[in-house]
Amino acid sequence: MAELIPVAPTVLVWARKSGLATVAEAAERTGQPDETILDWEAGRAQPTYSQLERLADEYGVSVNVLLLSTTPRIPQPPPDFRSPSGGQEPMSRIARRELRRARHLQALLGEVHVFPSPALPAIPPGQDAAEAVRGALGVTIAEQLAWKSPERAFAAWRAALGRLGILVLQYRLPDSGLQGLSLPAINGGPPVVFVNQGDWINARMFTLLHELGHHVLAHEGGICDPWRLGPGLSGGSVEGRCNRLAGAVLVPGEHLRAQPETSQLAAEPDDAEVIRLLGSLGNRYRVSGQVVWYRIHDLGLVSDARFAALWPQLRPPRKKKRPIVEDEERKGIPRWKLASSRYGPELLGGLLTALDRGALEPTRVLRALNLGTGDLDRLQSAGPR
Amino acid sequence: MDAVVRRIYCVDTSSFAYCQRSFGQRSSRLTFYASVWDLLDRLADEERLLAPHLVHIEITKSNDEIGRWAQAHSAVFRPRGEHAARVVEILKEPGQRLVDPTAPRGAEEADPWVIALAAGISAAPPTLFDPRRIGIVVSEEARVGGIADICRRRGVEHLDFTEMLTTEGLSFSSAAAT
Repeated sequence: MAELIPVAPTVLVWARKSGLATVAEAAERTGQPDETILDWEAGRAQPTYSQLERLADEYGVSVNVLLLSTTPRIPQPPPDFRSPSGGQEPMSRIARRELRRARHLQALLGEVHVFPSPALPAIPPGQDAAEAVRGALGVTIAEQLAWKSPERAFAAWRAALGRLGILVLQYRLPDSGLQGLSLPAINGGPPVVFVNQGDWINARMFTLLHELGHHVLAHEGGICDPWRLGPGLSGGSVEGRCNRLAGAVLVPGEHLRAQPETSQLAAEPDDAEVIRLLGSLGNRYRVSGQVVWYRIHDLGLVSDARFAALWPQLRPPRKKKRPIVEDEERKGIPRWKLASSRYGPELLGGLLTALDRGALEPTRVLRALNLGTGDLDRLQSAGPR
Repeated sequence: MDAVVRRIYCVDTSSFAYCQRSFGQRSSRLTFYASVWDLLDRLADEERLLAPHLVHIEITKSNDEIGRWAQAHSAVFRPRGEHAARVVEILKEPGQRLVDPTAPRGAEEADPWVIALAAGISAAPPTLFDPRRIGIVVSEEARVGGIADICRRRGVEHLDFTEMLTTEGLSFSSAAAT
Protein backbone atom coordinates (compact mmCIF):
# COMPACT_ATOMS: atom_id res chain seq x y z
CA MET A 1 0.00 0.00 0.00
CA ALA A 2 1.29 3.45 -0.91
CA GLU A 3 2.63 5.58 1.93
CA LEU A 4 0.27 8.27 3.24
CA ILE A 5 1.82 11.73 3.48
CA PRO A 6 1.24 13.75 6.67
CA VAL A 7 0.30 17.01 4.95
CA ALA A 8 -1.13 20.07 6.71
CA PRO A 9 -4.88 20.30 5.95
CA THR A 10 -4.81 24.12 5.99
CA VAL A 11 -2.17 24.11 3.26
CA LEU A 12 -4.34 21.93 1.05
CA VAL A 13 -7.28 24.32 1.47
CA TRP A 14 -5.04 27.31 0.77
CA ALA A 15 -3.54 25.69 -2.34
CA ARG A 16 -6.95 24.94 -3.81
CA LYS A 17 -8.43 28.36 -3.11
CA SER A 18 -5.36 30.31 -4.21
CA GLY A 19 -5.38 28.21 -7.39
CA LEU A 20 -9.01 29.22 -8.01
CA ALA A 21 -9.94 25.52 -8.15
CA THR A 22 -13.03 23.80 -6.80
CA VAL A 23 -13.39 20.63 -4.75
CA ALA A 24 -15.07 19.02 -7.76
CA GLU A 25 -12.10 19.80 -10.02
CA ALA A 26 -9.67 18.39 -7.46
CA ALA A 27 -11.82 15.28 -7.12
CA GLU A 28 -11.95 14.74 -10.86
CA ARG A 29 -8.21 15.19 -11.24
CA THR A 30 -7.35 12.75 -8.46
CA GLY A 31 -10.07 10.28 -9.37
CA GLN A 32 -11.48 10.51 -5.87
CA PRO A 33 -14.96 11.46 -4.65
CA ASP A 34 -15.53 15.02 -3.41
CA GLU A 35 -15.78 13.65 0.13
CA THR A 36 -12.20 12.38 0.00
CA ILE A 37 -10.88 15.83 -0.94
CA LEU A 38 -12.87 17.31 1.93
CA ASP A 39 -11.52 14.62 4.28
CA TRP A 40 -7.93 15.51 3.29
CA GLU A 41 -8.69 19.19 3.79
CA ALA A 42 -10.18 18.51 7.22
CA GLY A 43 -7.33 16.23 8.34
CA ARG A 44 -9.60 13.19 8.56
CA ALA A 45 -7.52 11.34 5.95
CA GLN A 46 -4.20 11.73 4.15
CA PRO A 47 -3.31 11.50 0.45
CA THR A 48 -0.52 9.47 -1.13
CA TYR A 49 2.34 11.20 -2.90
CA SER A 50 0.86 10.33 -6.27
CA GLN A 51 -2.44 11.95 -5.25
CA LEU A 52 -0.56 15.02 -4.02
CA GLU A 53 1.11 15.31 -7.42
CA ARG A 54 -2.28 15.32 -9.09
CA LEU A 55 -3.50 18.02 -6.72
CA ALA A 56 -0.37 20.03 -7.54
CA ASP A 57 -1.14 19.59 -11.26
CA GLU A 58 -4.68 20.85 -10.77
CA TYR A 59 -3.79 23.80 -8.54
CA GLY A 60 -0.73 24.77 -10.62
CA VAL A 61 1.41 24.76 -7.49
CA SER A 62 4.75 23.11 -6.75
CA VAL A 63 4.21 19.78 -5.01
CA ASN A 64 6.79 20.90 -2.42
CA VAL A 65 4.47 23.70 -1.34
CA LEU A 66 1.81 21.10 -0.49
CA LEU A 67 4.33 19.57 1.93
CA LEU A 68 4.80 22.79 3.93
CA SER A 69 3.48 22.78 7.48
CA THR A 70 2.05 26.31 7.40
CA THR A 71 0.09 28.33 4.88
CA PRO A 72 2.33 30.57 2.75
CA ARG A 73 1.72 34.31 2.94
CA ILE A 74 1.07 35.13 -0.69
CA PRO A 75 -1.52 37.61 -1.99
CA GLN A 76 -4.77 36.15 -3.23
CA PRO A 77 -5.37 35.98 -6.99
CA PRO A 78 -6.67 39.20 -8.56
CA PRO A 79 -10.42 39.72 -9.05
CA ASP A 80 -12.01 37.82 -11.91
CA PHE A 81 -13.72 40.32 -14.22
CA ARG A 82 -14.91 37.72 -16.71
CA SER A 83 -18.19 37.01 -14.98
CA PRO A 84 -20.99 39.60 -14.99
CA SER A 85 -22.05 38.41 -11.55
CA GLY A 86 -18.53 38.71 -10.14
CA GLY A 87 -18.34 34.95 -9.62
CA GLN A 88 -15.50 32.60 -10.40
CA GLU A 89 -15.08 31.49 -14.01
CA PRO A 90 -13.40 28.25 -15.10
CA MET A 91 -9.65 28.34 -15.53
CA SER A 92 -7.35 25.66 -16.95
CA ARG A 93 -4.63 24.15 -14.83
CA ILE A 94 -2.05 25.62 -17.24
CA ALA A 95 -3.50 29.08 -16.61
CA ARG A 96 -3.37 28.48 -12.85
CA ARG A 97 0.25 27.41 -13.11
CA GLU A 98 1.20 30.42 -15.22
CA LEU A 99 -0.59 32.76 -12.80
CA ARG A 100 1.61 31.31 -10.06
CA ARG A 101 4.69 31.62 -12.27
CA ALA A 102 3.89 35.31 -12.76
CA ARG A 103 3.82 35.72 -8.96
CA HIS A 104 7.01 33.68 -8.69
CA LEU A 105 8.89 35.83 -11.20
CA GLN A 106 7.54 38.96 -9.55
CA ALA A 107 8.91 37.76 -6.18
CA LEU A 108 12.25 36.83 -7.75
CA LEU A 109 12.61 40.30 -9.30
CA GLY A 110 11.65 41.86 -5.98
CA GLU A 111 14.60 40.06 -4.45
CA VAL A 112 17.33 40.95 -6.95
CA HIS A 113 16.34 44.40 -8.27
CA VAL A 114 17.47 43.94 -11.87
CA PHE A 115 14.27 45.21 -13.52
CA PRO A 116 13.37 48.85 -14.34
CA SER A 117 11.58 50.59 -11.47
CA PRO A 118 7.84 51.03 -12.06
CA ALA A 119 7.08 54.38 -13.68
CA LEU A 120 3.32 54.18 -14.20
CA PRO A 121 1.79 57.49 -15.25
CA ALA A 122 -0.41 59.26 -12.71
CA ILE A 123 -3.69 60.49 -14.14
CA PRO A 124 -4.79 63.74 -12.45
CA PRO A 125 -8.56 64.38 -12.43
CA GLY A 126 -9.71 65.96 -15.65
CA GLN A 127 -6.71 64.86 -17.68
CA ASP A 128 -7.15 62.68 -20.75
CA ALA A 129 -5.95 59.31 -19.51
CA ALA A 130 -5.13 57.98 -22.98
CA GLU A 131 -3.00 61.02 -23.76
CA ALA A 132 -1.11 60.66 -20.49
CA VAL A 133 -0.57 56.92 -21.02
CA ARG A 134 0.50 57.35 -24.61
CA GLY A 135 2.95 60.07 -23.55
CA ALA A 136 4.38 57.82 -20.85
CA LEU A 137 4.73 54.92 -23.28
CA GLY A 138 6.70 57.19 -25.60
CA VAL A 139 5.25 55.77 -28.81
CA THR A 140 4.64 58.39 -31.47
CA ILE A 141 1.97 58.14 -34.16
CA ALA A 142 4.69 58.26 -36.82
CA GLU A 143 6.40 55.25 -35.26
CA GLN A 144 3.13 53.35 -35.00
CA LEU A 145 2.23 53.94 -38.62
CA ALA A 146 5.70 52.79 -39.70
CA TRP A 147 5.44 49.34 -38.11
CA LYS A 148 5.58 46.85 -40.93
CA SER A 149 3.79 43.95 -39.27
CA PRO A 150 1.51 43.14 -36.33
CA GLU A 151 4.41 41.21 -34.77
CA ARG A 152 6.59 44.31 -34.91
CA ALA A 153 3.75 46.36 -33.42
CA PHE A 154 3.25 43.90 -30.56
CA ALA A 155 6.97 43.85 -29.80
CA ALA A 156 7.06 47.66 -29.77
CA TRP A 157 4.06 48.01 -27.42
CA ARG A 158 5.52 45.29 -25.20
CA ALA A 159 8.87 47.06 -25.05
CA ALA A 160 7.08 50.32 -24.22
CA LEU A 161 5.37 48.66 -21.25
CA GLY A 162 8.74 47.23 -20.23
CA ARG A 163 10.17 50.76 -20.14
CA LEU A 164 7.42 51.65 -17.65
CA GLY A 165 8.75 48.88 -15.42
CA ILE A 166 5.94 46.44 -16.21
CA LEU A 167 6.80 42.78 -16.56
CA VAL A 168 5.00 41.46 -19.66
CA LEU A 169 4.58 37.69 -19.88
CA GLN A 170 2.79 35.54 -22.41
CA TYR A 171 1.95 31.86 -22.64
CA ARG A 172 -0.23 29.84 -24.96
CA LEU A 173 -3.19 28.95 -22.75
CA PRO A 174 -5.93 26.51 -23.74
CA ASP A 175 -8.46 28.91 -22.18
CA SER A 176 -10.50 30.56 -24.92
CA GLY A 177 -12.13 32.79 -22.31
CA LEU A 178 -9.03 34.16 -20.62
CA GLN A 179 -7.21 36.76 -22.66
CA GLY A 180 -5.10 38.41 -20.03
CA LEU A 181 -4.46 39.24 -16.42
CA SER A 182 -2.60 41.77 -14.37
CA LEU A 183 -0.98 41.72 -10.96
CA PRO A 184 -0.13 44.88 -9.02
CA ALA A 185 3.44 45.55 -7.87
CA ILE A 186 4.29 43.90 -4.57
CA ASN A 187 7.29 43.63 -2.23
CA GLY A 188 9.63 45.36 -4.67
CA GLY A 189 8.50 43.14 -7.56
CA PRO A 190 7.19 44.86 -10.69
CA PRO A 191 3.57 45.10 -11.82
CA VAL A 192 2.75 42.26 -14.21
CA VAL A 193 0.74 42.02 -17.41
CA PHE A 194 0.08 38.57 -18.82
CA VAL A 195 -1.44 37.89 -22.25
CA ASN A 196 -2.71 34.65 -23.73
CA GLN A 197 -0.33 33.73 -26.55
CA GLY A 198 -3.09 31.55 -27.99
CA ASP A 199 -4.87 34.71 -29.15
CA TRP A 200 -4.41 36.41 -32.49
CA ILE A 201 -1.72 39.05 -32.25
CA ASN A 202 -4.09 42.04 -32.66
CA ALA A 203 -6.18 40.74 -29.79
CA ARG A 204 -3.04 40.39 -27.69
CA MET A 205 -2.13 44.00 -28.39
CA PHE A 206 -5.52 45.18 -27.17
CA THR A 207 -5.24 42.96 -24.08
CA LEU A 208 -1.78 44.34 -23.36
CA LEU A 209 -3.14 47.88 -23.16
CA HIS A 210 -6.36 46.79 -21.44
CA GLU A 211 -4.26 45.27 -18.65
CA LEU A 212 -2.12 48.40 -18.52
CA GLY A 213 -5.41 50.16 -17.87
CA HIS A 214 -5.92 48.02 -14.77
CA HIS A 215 -2.61 49.29 -13.42
CA VAL A 216 -3.12 52.92 -14.34
CA LEU A 217 -6.84 53.38 -13.69
CA ALA A 218 -7.75 50.81 -11.09
CA HIS A 219 -4.42 50.19 -9.32
CA GLU A 220 -5.28 46.54 -8.87
CA GLY A 221 -5.00 43.48 -11.00
CA GLY A 222 -7.63 41.49 -12.78
CA ILE A 223 -8.36 38.33 -14.72
CA CYS A 224 -9.89 39.44 -17.98
CA ASP A 225 -11.56 38.63 -21.26
CA PRO A 226 -12.00 42.24 -22.45
CA TRP A 227 -14.78 41.67 -25.01
CA ARG A 228 -16.57 38.95 -23.01
CA LEU A 229 -19.39 41.25 -21.96
CA GLY A 230 -19.60 42.94 -25.34
CA PRO A 231 -18.80 46.42 -26.61
CA GLY A 232 -21.79 47.91 -24.82
CA LEU A 233 -20.09 47.38 -21.47
CA SER A 234 -20.78 50.30 -19.20
CA GLY A 235 -18.06 52.93 -19.49
CA GLY A 236 -18.10 53.29 -15.73
CA SER A 237 -17.16 49.67 -14.98
CA VAL A 238 -13.51 48.74 -14.51
CA GLU A 239 -13.51 46.59 -17.65
CA GLY A 240 -15.31 49.27 -19.64
CA ARG A 241 -12.81 51.93 -18.56
CA CYS A 242 -9.87 49.69 -19.38
CA ASN A 243 -11.34 48.90 -22.81
CA ARG A 244 -11.86 52.58 -23.55
CA LEU A 245 -8.33 53.39 -22.50
CA ALA A 246 -6.86 50.57 -24.61
CA GLY A 247 -8.84 51.70 -27.65
CA ALA A 248 -7.90 55.33 -27.20
CA VAL A 249 -4.20 54.56 -26.78
CA LEU A 250 -4.12 52.30 -29.83
CA VAL A 251 -6.20 54.62 -32.01
CA PRO A 252 -5.80 58.26 -30.90
CA GLY A 253 -9.02 60.19 -31.46
CA GLU A 254 -7.63 63.30 -33.08
CA HIS A 255 -5.62 61.33 -35.60
CA LEU A 256 -8.53 59.01 -36.38
CA ARG A 257 -10.88 61.94 -37.02
CA ALA A 258 -8.39 63.35 -39.53
CA GLN A 259 -8.35 60.20 -41.67
CA PRO A 260 -10.37 60.49 -44.92
CA GLU A 261 -11.85 57.02 -44.41
CA THR A 262 -13.31 58.07 -41.06
CA SER A 263 -15.70 60.67 -42.40
CA GLN A 264 -16.45 58.44 -45.35
CA LEU A 265 -17.48 55.43 -43.26
CA ALA A 266 -19.48 57.50 -40.78
CA ALA A 267 -21.83 58.38 -43.64
CA GLU A 268 -21.54 55.12 -45.58
CA PRO A 269 -24.78 53.07 -45.57
CA ASP A 270 -23.30 49.94 -47.15
CA ASP A 271 -22.05 47.52 -44.49
CA ALA A 272 -19.57 45.78 -46.77
CA GLU A 273 -17.94 49.08 -47.67
CA VAL A 274 -17.77 50.12 -44.01
CA ILE A 275 -16.11 46.82 -43.14
CA ARG A 276 -13.59 47.35 -45.95
CA LEU A 277 -12.79 50.85 -44.70
CA LEU A 278 -12.44 49.58 -41.13
CA GLY A 279 -9.98 46.97 -42.34
CA SER A 280 -7.97 49.65 -44.10
CA LEU A 281 -7.84 51.82 -40.98
CA GLY A 282 -7.10 48.81 -38.81
CA ASN A 283 -4.09 47.93 -40.94
CA ARG A 284 -2.84 51.47 -40.59
CA TYR A 285 -2.92 51.44 -36.77
CA ARG A 286 -2.08 47.73 -36.55
CA VAL A 287 -5.34 46.93 -34.75
CA SER A 288 -8.46 44.99 -35.71
CA GLY A 289 -11.37 46.60 -37.56
CA GLN A 290 -13.41 45.93 -34.43
CA VAL A 291 -11.24 48.27 -32.38
CA VAL A 292 -11.53 51.02 -35.01
CA TRP A 293 -15.35 50.67 -35.06
CA TYR A 294 -15.39 50.74 -31.26
CA ARG A 295 -13.33 53.95 -31.35
CA ILE A 296 -15.53 55.55 -33.99
CA HIS A 297 -18.54 54.91 -31.78
CA ASP A 298 -16.68 56.09 -28.70
CA LEU A 299 -15.90 59.36 -30.47
CA GLY A 300 -19.60 59.82 -31.23
CA LEU A 301 -19.14 59.55 -35.01
CA VAL A 302 -21.90 56.93 -35.44
CA SER A 303 -25.15 56.36 -33.62
CA ASP A 304 -25.63 53.64 -31.01
CA ALA A 305 -28.05 51.87 -33.32
CA ARG A 306 -25.68 51.91 -36.31
CA PHE A 307 -22.81 50.74 -34.12
CA ALA A 308 -24.82 47.88 -32.63
CA ALA A 309 -26.16 46.79 -36.02
CA LEU A 310 -22.73 46.38 -37.57
CA TRP A 311 -20.88 44.96 -34.56
CA PRO A 312 -22.00 41.32 -35.00
CA GLN A 313 -20.75 41.37 -38.59
CA LEU A 314 -17.24 42.26 -37.52
CA ARG A 315 -15.48 38.98 -37.04
CA PRO A 316 -13.81 38.79 -33.68
CA PRO A 317 -10.07 38.19 -33.85
CA ARG A 318 -9.31 34.60 -34.75
CA LYS A 319 -7.88 32.33 -32.12
CA LYS A 320 -4.78 30.38 -32.87
CA LYS A 321 -5.15 26.64 -32.83
CA ARG A 322 -5.33 25.63 -29.21
CA PRO A 323 -2.47 23.53 -27.92
CA ILE A 324 -3.13 19.82 -27.69
CA VAL A 325 0.03 19.29 -25.73
CA GLU A 326 2.14 21.83 -23.96
CA ASP A 327 4.86 23.46 -26.00
CA GLU A 328 7.57 21.88 -23.87
CA GLU A 329 6.29 18.47 -24.84
CA ARG A 330 6.40 19.26 -28.55
CA LYS A 331 9.59 18.20 -30.20
CA GLY A 332 11.78 20.63 -32.05
CA ILE A 333 11.07 23.80 -30.08
CA PRO A 334 14.08 24.65 -27.93
CA ARG A 335 13.07 25.82 -24.48
CA TRP A 336 15.36 28.83 -24.60
CA LYS A 337 13.63 30.05 -27.76
CA LEU A 338 10.22 29.68 -26.13
CA ALA A 339 11.61 31.59 -23.16
CA SER A 340 12.51 34.59 -25.31
CA SER A 341 8.93 35.15 -26.48
CA ARG A 342 7.32 34.24 -23.16
CA TYR A 343 9.40 36.29 -20.82
CA GLY A 344 10.79 39.09 -22.99
CA PRO A 345 14.25 40.60 -23.15
CA GLU A 346 13.92 42.80 -20.05
CA LEU A 347 13.26 39.88 -17.72
CA LEU A 348 15.77 37.52 -19.30
CA GLY A 349 18.44 40.22 -19.43
CA GLY A 350 17.76 41.13 -15.81
CA LEU A 351 17.98 37.57 -14.57
CA LEU A 352 21.18 36.93 -16.53
CA THR A 353 22.64 40.08 -14.98
CA ALA A 354 21.66 38.78 -11.54
CA LEU A 355 23.45 35.52 -12.34
CA ASP A 356 26.58 37.39 -13.43
CA ARG A 357 26.56 39.31 -10.17
CA GLY A 358 26.09 36.13 -8.16
CA ALA A 359 22.81 37.50 -6.78
CA LEU A 360 20.91 34.37 -7.85
CA GLU A 361 21.81 30.71 -8.06
CA PRO A 362 21.49 29.28 -11.59
CA THR A 363 19.06 26.58 -10.48
CA ARG A 364 16.56 29.17 -9.24
CA VAL A 365 16.54 30.82 -12.65
CA LEU A 366 16.26 27.48 -14.43
CA ARG A 367 13.26 26.50 -12.30
CA ALA A 368 11.52 29.85 -12.58
CA LEU A 369 11.81 29.87 -16.39
CA ASN A 370 11.32 26.11 -16.80
CA LEU A 371 14.65 25.73 -18.58
CA GLY A 372 17.24 22.97 -18.78
CA THR A 373 20.84 23.14 -17.58
CA GLY A 374 22.25 24.01 -21.00
CA ASP A 375 19.66 26.67 -21.82
CA LEU A 376 21.23 29.52 -19.83
CA ASP A 377 24.40 29.32 -21.93
CA ARG A 378 22.30 29.45 -25.09
CA LEU A 379 20.35 32.45 -23.82
CA GLN A 380 23.58 34.19 -22.90
CA SER A 381 24.98 33.50 -26.36
CA ALA A 382 21.77 34.73 -28.00
CA GLY A 383 22.21 37.96 -26.02
CA PRO A 384 18.80 39.07 -24.74
CA ARG A 385 20.55 41.96 -22.95
CA MET B 1 38.07 5.47 3.17
CA ASP B 2 36.81 3.59 6.22
CA ALA B 3 36.51 -0.07 5.17
CA VAL B 4 33.20 -0.62 6.96
CA VAL B 5 31.47 2.58 5.87
CA ARG B 6 30.13 3.24 2.40
CA ARG B 7 29.92 6.91 1.51
CA ILE B 8 26.92 7.54 -0.74
CA TYR B 9 26.76 10.87 -2.54
CA CYS B 10 23.28 12.39 -2.89
CA VAL B 11 23.69 14.96 -5.62
CA ASP B 12 21.54 18.06 -6.08
CA THR B 13 20.63 19.68 -9.41
CA SER B 14 22.96 22.60 -8.65
CA SER B 15 25.98 20.27 -8.65
CA PHE B 16 24.96 18.51 -11.83
CA ALA B 17 24.45 21.94 -13.42
CA TYR B 18 27.89 22.99 -12.17
CA CYS B 19 29.33 19.82 -13.71
CA GLN B 20 27.66 20.66 -17.02
CA ARG B 21 28.96 24.22 -17.02
CA SER B 22 32.48 23.27 -15.95
CA PHE B 23 33.07 19.96 -17.70
CA GLY B 24 30.29 19.82 -20.28
CA GLN B 25 32.50 19.68 -23.35
CA ARG B 26 33.18 15.99 -23.01
CA SER B 27 33.83 15.72 -26.71
CA SER B 28 36.95 17.82 -26.33
CA ARG B 29 38.49 14.81 -24.56
CA LEU B 30 40.61 16.95 -22.32
CA THR B 31 42.23 14.63 -19.83
CA PHE B 32 40.75 16.22 -16.75
CA TYR B 33 37.26 16.51 -18.18
CA ALA B 34 37.34 12.84 -19.15
CA SER B 35 38.47 11.82 -15.68
CA VAL B 36 35.54 13.69 -14.10
CA TRP B 37 33.02 11.84 -16.26
CA ASP B 38 34.83 8.55 -15.65
CA LEU B 39 34.54 9.18 -11.91
CA LEU B 40 30.81 9.85 -12.20
CA ASP B 41 30.42 6.65 -14.22
CA ARG B 42 32.34 4.68 -11.59
CA LEU B 43 30.37 6.11 -8.64
CA ALA B 44 27.12 5.35 -10.45
CA ASP B 45 28.24 1.78 -11.22
CA GLU B 46 29.19 1.28 -7.56
CA GLU B 47 25.77 2.65 -6.50
CA ARG B 48 27.56 5.38 -4.54
CA LEU B 49 25.97 8.24 -6.44
CA LEU B 50 22.23 8.78 -6.05
CA ALA B 51 19.74 11.57 -6.59
CA PRO B 52 15.99 12.08 -6.14
CA HIS B 53 13.63 11.79 -9.07
CA LEU B 54 13.15 15.57 -9.20
CA VAL B 55 16.83 16.03 -10.06
CA HIS B 56 16.40 13.71 -13.03
CA ILE B 57 13.48 15.84 -14.28
CA GLU B 58 15.51 19.02 -13.97
CA ILE B 59 18.72 17.87 -15.62
CA THR B 60 17.10 16.11 -18.55
CA LYS B 61 15.22 19.19 -19.75
CA SER B 62 17.95 20.00 -22.24
CA ASN B 63 19.87 17.69 -24.50
CA ASP B 64 23.31 18.43 -23.08
CA GLU B 65 26.09 16.23 -21.71
CA ILE B 66 24.68 15.96 -18.19
CA GLY B 67 21.19 15.29 -19.53
CA ARG B 68 22.47 12.45 -21.70
CA TRP B 69 24.52 11.10 -18.79
CA ALA B 70 21.39 11.07 -16.61
CA GLN B 71 19.42 9.24 -19.29
CA ALA B 72 22.15 6.63 -19.53
CA HIS B 73 22.33 6.18 -15.73
CA SER B 74 18.68 6.00 -14.76
CA ALA B 75 19.48 3.71 -11.80
CA VAL B 76 21.08 6.70 -10.07
CA PHE B 77 17.68 8.34 -9.67
CA ARG B 78 15.37 7.24 -6.88
CA PRO B 79 11.61 6.70 -7.31
CA ARG B 80 9.14 9.59 -7.17
CA GLY B 81 8.00 10.48 -3.69
CA GLU B 82 10.58 8.39 -1.86
CA HIS B 83 11.13 9.83 1.66
CA ALA B 84 8.17 12.25 1.28
CA ALA B 85 7.31 12.01 4.98
CA ARG B 86 10.92 12.86 5.82
CA VAL B 87 10.68 15.89 3.49
CA VAL B 88 7.63 17.08 5.46
CA GLU B 89 9.75 16.95 8.61
CA ILE B 90 12.66 18.80 7.00
CA LEU B 91 10.34 21.56 5.81
CA LYS B 92 9.31 22.21 9.42
CA GLU B 93 12.86 23.46 10.10
CA PRO B 94 12.52 27.11 11.21
CA GLY B 95 13.80 29.57 8.64
CA GLN B 96 14.24 26.97 5.92
CA ARG B 97 14.46 28.42 2.42
CA LEU B 98 14.53 25.13 0.58
CA VAL B 99 11.08 25.68 -0.86
CA ASP B 100 9.81 28.87 -2.45
CA PRO B 101 6.11 29.15 -1.57
CA THR B 102 5.41 31.00 -4.81
CA ALA B 103 6.86 28.23 -7.01
CA PRO B 104 4.54 26.95 -9.75
CA ARG B 105 4.07 23.33 -10.74
CA GLY B 106 7.16 22.16 -12.57
CA ALA B 107 9.50 24.41 -10.58
CA GLU B 108 9.90 22.02 -7.66
CA GLU B 109 13.17 22.31 -5.78
CA ALA B 110 15.00 19.04 -5.33
CA ASP B 111 16.85 20.38 -2.27
CA PRO B 112 14.69 18.95 0.56
CA TRP B 113 14.51 15.63 -1.29
CA VAL B 114 18.29 15.43 -1.51
CA ILE B 115 18.62 16.04 2.23
CA ALA B 116 15.88 13.48 2.94
CA LEU B 117 17.61 10.92 0.74
CA ALA B 118 20.95 11.39 2.50
CA ALA B 119 19.33 11.30 5.94
CA GLY B 120 17.38 8.19 4.97
CA ILE B 121 20.55 6.42 3.82
CA SER B 122 22.38 7.29 7.04
CA ALA B 123 19.43 6.19 9.16
CA ALA B 124 19.18 2.73 7.59
CA PRO B 125 20.71 0.05 9.84
CA PRO B 126 23.60 -1.98 8.39
CA THR B 127 22.94 -5.56 7.36
CA LEU B 128 25.14 -8.63 7.18
CA PHE B 129 25.93 -7.98 3.53
CA ASP B 130 25.65 -4.23 3.48
CA PRO B 131 27.98 -2.20 5.72
CA ARG B 132 26.98 1.00 7.42
CA ARG B 133 26.24 3.69 4.85
CA ILE B 134 26.54 7.46 5.18
CA GLY B 135 24.53 9.75 2.94
CA ILE B 136 26.42 12.89 1.90
CA VAL B 137 24.65 15.82 0.27
CA VAL B 138 26.46 17.34 -2.71
CA SER B 139 25.26 20.81 -3.72
CA GLU B 140 26.58 24.24 -4.67
CA GLU B 141 24.17 26.51 -2.84
CA ALA B 142 25.24 28.24 0.33
CA ARG B 143 22.60 30.78 1.35
CA VAL B 144 21.17 30.97 4.87
CA GLY B 145 18.29 28.54 5.21
CA GLY B 146 19.46 26.77 2.05
CA ILE B 147 20.58 23.21 1.56
CA ALA B 148 24.06 23.46 3.13
CA ASP B 149 22.70 25.34 6.15
CA ILE B 150 19.90 22.85 6.78
CA CYS B 151 22.35 19.95 6.38
CA ARG B 152 24.57 21.51 9.03
CA ARG B 153 21.61 21.99 11.39
CA ARG B 154 20.44 18.40 10.93
CA GLY B 155 23.88 16.79 11.14
CA VAL B 156 23.99 15.69 7.51
CA GLU B 157 27.41 15.85 5.85
CA HIS B 158 27.58 18.33 2.96
CA LEU B 159 30.13 18.81 0.18
CA ASP B 160 30.23 20.75 -3.04
CA PHE B 161 30.97 19.06 -6.36
CA THR B 162 34.68 19.90 -6.33
CA GLU B 163 35.02 18.57 -2.78
CA MET B 164 33.37 15.35 -3.88
CA LEU B 165 35.91 15.02 -6.69
CA THR B 166 38.85 15.58 -4.39
CA THR B 167 37.42 13.26 -1.72
CA GLU B 168 37.33 10.57 -4.39
CA GLY B 169 40.98 11.16 -5.23
CA LEU B 170 40.61 13.49 -8.18
CA SER B 171 42.43 16.72 -7.62
CA PHE B 172 42.75 19.54 -10.08
CA SER B 173 46.56 19.50 -9.92
CA SER B 174 46.95 15.73 -10.26
CA ALA B 175 44.30 15.52 -12.97
CA ALA B 176 45.94 18.25 -14.99
CA ALA B 177 49.22 16.39 -14.76
CA THR B 178 47.86 13.07 -16.01
